[in-house]
Amino acid sequence: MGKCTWEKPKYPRLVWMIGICLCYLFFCNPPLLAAGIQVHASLGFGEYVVPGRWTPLNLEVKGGEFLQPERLTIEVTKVDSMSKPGEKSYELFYLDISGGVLRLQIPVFIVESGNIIQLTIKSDQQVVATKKINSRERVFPGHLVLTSGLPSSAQQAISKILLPREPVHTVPITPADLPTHALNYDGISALLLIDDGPILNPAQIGALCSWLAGGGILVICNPRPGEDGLFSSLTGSTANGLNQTYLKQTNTEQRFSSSQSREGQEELREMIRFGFGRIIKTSLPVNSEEPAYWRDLLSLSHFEEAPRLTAGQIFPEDVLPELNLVEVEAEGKFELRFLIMAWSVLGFTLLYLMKPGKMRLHALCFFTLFSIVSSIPVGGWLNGLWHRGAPIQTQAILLPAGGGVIFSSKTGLPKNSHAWNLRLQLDAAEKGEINRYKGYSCWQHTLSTYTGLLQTSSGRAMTITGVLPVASSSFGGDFWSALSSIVSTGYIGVYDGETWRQFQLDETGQASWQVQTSDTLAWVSKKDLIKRLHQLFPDYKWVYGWSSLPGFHLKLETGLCNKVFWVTPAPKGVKL
Amino acid sequence: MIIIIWSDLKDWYVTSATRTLAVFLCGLAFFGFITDLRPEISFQVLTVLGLWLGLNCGKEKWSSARLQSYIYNTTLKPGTVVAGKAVFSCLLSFLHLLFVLPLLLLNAVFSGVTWDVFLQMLALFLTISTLASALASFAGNVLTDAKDSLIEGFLIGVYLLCTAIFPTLQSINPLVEIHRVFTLGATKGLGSAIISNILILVTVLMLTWIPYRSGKGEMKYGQYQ
Repeated sequence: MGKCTWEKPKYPRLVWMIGICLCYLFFCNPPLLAAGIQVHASLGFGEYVVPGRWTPLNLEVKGGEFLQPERLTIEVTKVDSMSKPGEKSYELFYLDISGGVLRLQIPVFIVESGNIIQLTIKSDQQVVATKKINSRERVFPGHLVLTSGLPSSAQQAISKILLPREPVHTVPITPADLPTHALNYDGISALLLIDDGPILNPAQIGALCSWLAGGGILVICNPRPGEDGLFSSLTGSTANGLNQTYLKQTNTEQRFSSSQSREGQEELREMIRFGFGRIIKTSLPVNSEEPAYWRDLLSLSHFEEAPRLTAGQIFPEDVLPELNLVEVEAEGKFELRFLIMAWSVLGFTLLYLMKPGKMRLHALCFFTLFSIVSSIPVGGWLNGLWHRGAPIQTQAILLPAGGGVIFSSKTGLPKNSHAWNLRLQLDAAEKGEINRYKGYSCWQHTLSTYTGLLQTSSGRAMTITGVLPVASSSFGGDFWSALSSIVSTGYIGVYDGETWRQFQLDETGQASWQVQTSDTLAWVSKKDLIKRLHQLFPDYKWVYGWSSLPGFHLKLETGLCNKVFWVTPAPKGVKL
Repeated sequence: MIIIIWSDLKDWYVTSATRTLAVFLCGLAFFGFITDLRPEISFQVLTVLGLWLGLNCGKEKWSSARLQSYIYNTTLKPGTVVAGKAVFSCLLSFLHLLFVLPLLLLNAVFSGVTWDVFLQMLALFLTISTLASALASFAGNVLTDAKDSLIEGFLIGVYLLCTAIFPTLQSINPLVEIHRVFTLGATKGLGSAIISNILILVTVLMLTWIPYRSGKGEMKYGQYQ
């Protein structure tokens, strides 16, 4: 009988190799490991971006576990032609996701030459997804108009209103996708909405009002009457309605008109000035295919001739000049030198006035220990005074009509600075660091609402730009009292295109301002900004000042640096 | 060994502590004052002061007795004496470091120097100061057998010069290394500089010990007076 033997089954080599490859893919490929997270990213409205303006980076994140929320870290890195090799600048956002779909609109600044946006999403330090978006592929240097509820024929008509000189790009959008951050409106020239009632959330309304106050055009088609309408939700939330005096001063150009449309319907049109912007209420026809109709309705100037008070236009991309340490204001140096002197004199006294013995030994030990323990808090305090020799320049535009405050803060390490790094903090939720030794600058947001965003940065400098809301109670009186409620202290001046005048608030805080000096105002550090604003808007006088702003707490190292050079347009009719 | 360290420390405290501590204090405070605590200047000054301290320590100016005296006049083993002298030198450098530590800490906080680099800088100071002491001791007790000789300073001078001139040796020159760290951000070489210093220190200590290892009374390099 033949012996029955069991033969071990042999798998072909190919099967083993495929198995090993699959194991490798499963265990080593991060996207597969975190297969639960799906990310879709796009830049701009309709994927078009206006160069030199802020634009939304739209993120749609799906997945995560229902029971256990997952914290995702979103790292946004911008690369442009100015980026140096070996240097990295990035912005960090955090997102908690638990099984649903989350949409984010992150404002990013697109430089004139365009950026490449690199997006890295991490979960527990593990990369879940990476995306790369080249903004140069969809650049549109012209008017972008958002429309909601308009037929395509009307959109095509709008796109022709400035032809043959330039096209206008229209992007259809749903009200739910309207930006919640004012910076995302930066590249938008006009917004046309069918009035579906008060459907916008407070963040969207705030952003819309900031944009309007800076010069945006909002067309509300088919407006609903009373509190059911979009208009009342806009005006009721920011400045307690149009009956407020400060707003009223910018609202004097209310215009009513009526015309007969082609279909024979009577069109009622109402134009309300809102700061530098306009709200146009029109009772149809939204289906007009005539470019002339839309040209008349929107009154858009050519793109290059249409200035607005927006972050991108007023605070364009700017590299912090290479500063030498000697040029930097040397605050805190006196304290430092005094401390060094005091410490050395005290040590010297102990050494030479006391005879060598136990007493001197004890005194020296105590002196050394006390100095060591106190050196770290004292160093921190000095750092707050001197903040490593880094200058900080914050400029702000106080938007009319309660539209908020657009600010831009630039800081950086001077050329011959010996500091290793510089830390910046805006309120409690946003902070960043410039680290010239590791060659990076980063800015991180710990909350889902963003105040300041990274505009431009390098291994030595960064610019943070944002929009601060203003409490509606600030707009309860006339221009001066409204202004003094925002900037109650500090210097105030007026520029009318020729002369620089300085005023001082009297004790009552009312209109009795006194001229103190003229011509040479040393504290006006940003004359260029005011002159540029006057060139853009020659009809306005510009009130400016140097003071701290409420709600603006910027820390450089441990020292508060919330002094701001602010500018605001004085409404026509205000006595200056 | 403890006896050597203790007696040398006592002698230093009574005769020279005021002067050496005052030199450290004034040197660092002066340069800190005029340069607004530039870290590279402060640490370079600290290194120079450490070299000066090490040289004087190696010359045994502040010791209660010389290395040879301990070997020939006590029952201590030569190895113990050499090691004791090295530990005393390191301890003395540490005490000086402790005395000026507040200013160095202030410097680190003020300029944002990271703690790992700061600690490595302190280690570099301790090793270079002890190495200077060991070189001076080697020159004074083995090479020349003279109490006051220029050769101690000459040796450390040659060491600094050679390591500064030749690019391959620059990573072990403390002054060049400090300049590199604080102006170029090249912190990776600090560890190798510390290790190199320790290796050279051990070698020098061995070279000092070898002539005396066979026992007391055998005068290999001249008669001790």
